[in-house]
Amino acid sequence: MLTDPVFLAQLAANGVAVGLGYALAALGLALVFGILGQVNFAHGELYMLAAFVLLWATQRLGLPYGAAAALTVALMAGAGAALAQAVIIPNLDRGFESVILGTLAVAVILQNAVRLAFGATPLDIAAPLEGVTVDVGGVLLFGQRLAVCAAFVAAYTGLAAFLRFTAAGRAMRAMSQSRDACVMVGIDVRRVTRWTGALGAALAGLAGVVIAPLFDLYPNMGTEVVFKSFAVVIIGGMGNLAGSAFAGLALGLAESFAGGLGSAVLRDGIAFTVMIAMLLVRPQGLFGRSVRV
Amino acid sequence: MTLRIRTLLVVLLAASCGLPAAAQEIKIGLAGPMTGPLAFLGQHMKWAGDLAVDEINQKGGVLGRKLAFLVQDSACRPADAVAAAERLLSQDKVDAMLGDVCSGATIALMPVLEKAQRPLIVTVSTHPDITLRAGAGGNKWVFRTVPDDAMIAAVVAKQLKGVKNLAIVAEDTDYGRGAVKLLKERLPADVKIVSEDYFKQTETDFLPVLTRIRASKPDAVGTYVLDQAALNLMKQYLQFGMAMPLVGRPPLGSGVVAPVVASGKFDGSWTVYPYYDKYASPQNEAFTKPFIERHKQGPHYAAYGVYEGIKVLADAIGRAGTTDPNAVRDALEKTNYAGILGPIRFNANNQTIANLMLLQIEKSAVVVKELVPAQ
Amino acid sequence: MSRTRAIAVVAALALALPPVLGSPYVLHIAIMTGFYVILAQSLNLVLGYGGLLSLATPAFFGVGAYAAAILALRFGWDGAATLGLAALAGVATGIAIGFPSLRVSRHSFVIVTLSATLLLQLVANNWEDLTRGSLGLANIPAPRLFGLTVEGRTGWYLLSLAAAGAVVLVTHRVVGSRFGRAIVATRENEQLALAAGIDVFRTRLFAFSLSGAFAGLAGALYAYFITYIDPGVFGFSVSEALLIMVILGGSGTLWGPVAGAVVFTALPELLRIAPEVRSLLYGIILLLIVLYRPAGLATWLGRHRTAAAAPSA
Repeated sequence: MLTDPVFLAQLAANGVAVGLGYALAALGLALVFGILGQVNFAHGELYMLAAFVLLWATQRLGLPYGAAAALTVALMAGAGAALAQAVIIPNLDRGFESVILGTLAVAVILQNAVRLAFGATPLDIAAPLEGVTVDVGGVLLFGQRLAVCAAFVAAYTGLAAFLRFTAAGRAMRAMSQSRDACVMVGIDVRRVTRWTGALGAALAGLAGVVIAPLFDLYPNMGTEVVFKSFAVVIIGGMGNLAGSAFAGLALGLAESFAGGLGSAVLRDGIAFTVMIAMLLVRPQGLFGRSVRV
Repeated sequence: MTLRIRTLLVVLLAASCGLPAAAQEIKIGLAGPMTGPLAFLGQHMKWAGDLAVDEINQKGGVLGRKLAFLVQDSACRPADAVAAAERLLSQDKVDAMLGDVCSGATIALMPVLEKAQRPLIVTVSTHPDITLRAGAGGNKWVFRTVPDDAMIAAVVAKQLKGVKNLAIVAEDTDYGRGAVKLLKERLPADVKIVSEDYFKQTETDFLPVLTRIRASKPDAVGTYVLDQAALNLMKQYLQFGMAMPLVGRPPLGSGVVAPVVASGKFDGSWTVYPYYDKYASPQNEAFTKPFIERHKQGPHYAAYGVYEGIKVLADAIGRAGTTDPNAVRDALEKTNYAGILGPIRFNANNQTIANLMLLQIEKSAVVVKELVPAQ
Repeated sequence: MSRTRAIAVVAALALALPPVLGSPYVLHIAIMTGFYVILAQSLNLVLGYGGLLSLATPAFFGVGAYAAAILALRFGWDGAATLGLAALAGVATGIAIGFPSLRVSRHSFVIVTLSATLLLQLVANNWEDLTRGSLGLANIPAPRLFGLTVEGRTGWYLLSLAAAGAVVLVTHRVVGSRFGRAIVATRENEQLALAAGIDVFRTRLFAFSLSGAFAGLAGALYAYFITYIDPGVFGFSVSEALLIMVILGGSGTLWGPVAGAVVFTALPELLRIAPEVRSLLYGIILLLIVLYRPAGLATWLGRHRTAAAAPSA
């Protein structure tokens, strides 16, 4: 098995697919940390909420997948702005532990609210590309996973363009460098915070709508995502978007090979072990802290 | 300020004392996972308990008294299960208990019930240790109404005769690891295990596991997973285009995986389960029909367990003629209850030697192939 | 009667009530509260006095629990020595985790402590020869201290109370000492502390290790009390509860976390009245208090922090 080239190629393909999924899921977290310097513990629950909103939009409103996904992302942006307004802005001067606790509380609330609303039975979303499998020389590529990769590329380039070429994006980059300087040049810090919250949540939402159909939905699904996202963000460099992208991909590949050639245990432990090793050897992450795109 | 604190403390302490229990009702408690990854099992257990109690009460109750069913959340964690039991026993003063789902939590409950001297009916947990420690020479207060993993492993092992290469995939819990260990001890000599993979209970991404299985080229895949993981596993299995049957203990009879079973791609898969809700027998339908009417879905195996557990308890209390715990326990030992799957009797270790079901998928439908007596 | 005296009287009455009431359920809660007081002080040392948001407490707790369980089950150790060794295991874990994590930024520190905890959980799940993996370790025998076996609710209540009291006392002593002042200095202004000649890293490592000792002790007591542990002891939910207890009780004060532990051990139990809604209410209460009363219960009680300002971001 270990020398079978098809097997190894499959592991590589899996790794890329899963890795870009991690990168997409972590992008919102990295953005919020990079610009606001805040750790959003509700990030995983935003991802989870998006999946459930998508379910509601497709089943209750009867929308086709594409329209439902777009609606969901828009709603998540609103939720992100609200979260920033309610939890981050009042605590900007109070020390980051307040924000961590506040977002943690929001996470608990969201998880339980969704459980009460949807029940504990695992639910399923049908995605258009679910049944599509492409066979490339023995290596299988799965439709929905390719969609995840495409979504990541689109999100990343879109975000990069936004940060580089729009006024709002420039204001955000300024904020990441110095909040006080922003105030001095007349940038509305609260507005930037809301925008960042919205954008971060929209990215989490995008990750949710493309990745959720791969698996079933249940209220606890966000916990796993946020832990992996933390690892990605630290390994890549806190707040460094390119770093997170690279780290996500690398992690996906590492896990795939560890799990395929070793065991599932090895695979689960890799994210955290690499993260701790990174901190021992190079605490600023692979690319250092900055909102570099 | 001090007044506020004093009041707060007094309120806290007063509330924790609780009100005296209503003297008339016979109370049965359940410690189960109402929250956490197995919450939907807990949900079914609660529904089933309510149904059983309502049915018994409609017929006049037991000894002329009504039954009450009380549930406390254990989240399948041993410490929480102990706290849940404490509350049920000392606050609500239940006369007997059922629980839990996860064997770890059940094992933690056993000494608590022994000290409180109240019967505990185990209706879901399958770990053999539970019975090894119950009955003669052990905890006399614990009874199990479902077969344990050792009995199930024996039946599975026999069914596996003829399979040359077996891949194993199991959840990384006491259930998964324990069941696989028991299976390996009983496996026929000509069956070779070509890969063995464990994944955490909350896993949703089976890409790596399936990649490995595909590369190891087995004839069948021994599956030890619970419903939620099974749905994901089977969906992704289809995406891989694999056709080997799933064998061992996949939850094929569960409503959760019904849509994938209906796809027709899993014909030939089989499982050994203590219960299947669509089993066609008048007694089973007397249980499932009202359940489906109330909740629009068929009862899960865990629901069946609680339903019968309560009926067994009620029967024992009736025979004892009193709710005195010792009398009830003695009556339980002599149980000969006509259950849905056959007679429920307890051996010296308070374990039931009941029938198991061999379910197979034929033409996109789950069929009860045979009722296999456990040993 | 002065406010302090009044509170002391009420507290003494409250302490005496559980054994008097005799209800095993209330005693169970009271015993668990004692353990949580110890855990809260453990976190308080690092978060309150040290200003570092640590999610490593379950790591120390779990290590202490497993140490005690393994020593008791495999070697028959069941006395004070086991408790001491569990505390030492906590210290060792503190040093092991502290070394990489205390050198990085405050945000990374949070994530690394979390990850170390999860990693330990993974180890506990998979090192089956030592820990029996997910099957857990059951039937842990009762401990024997000073020749007496600790059993029965009242006995455990006294032990829990004594341990909690000892931990609070040690915290009081440490905080009042030179080290205590050094730790607070590193929290208030790291650069200034460095300039004043304080070895910031070693001071923090000491606080972290001591917090490991406390939590390790709590873990051992917990293992003996519940008589069954599994890898769930490394779970994140313990951190959630502790954060609430410490921050809302009043981080950086001596009695704030104690009050927090009492209220937030009793509160979830009282909220059992509505099991499905319990967790949701918990989250809402937490959010409300974070938004409207962030200084915590200690301020409510009229106490003040040892140093003026809140920790800087």
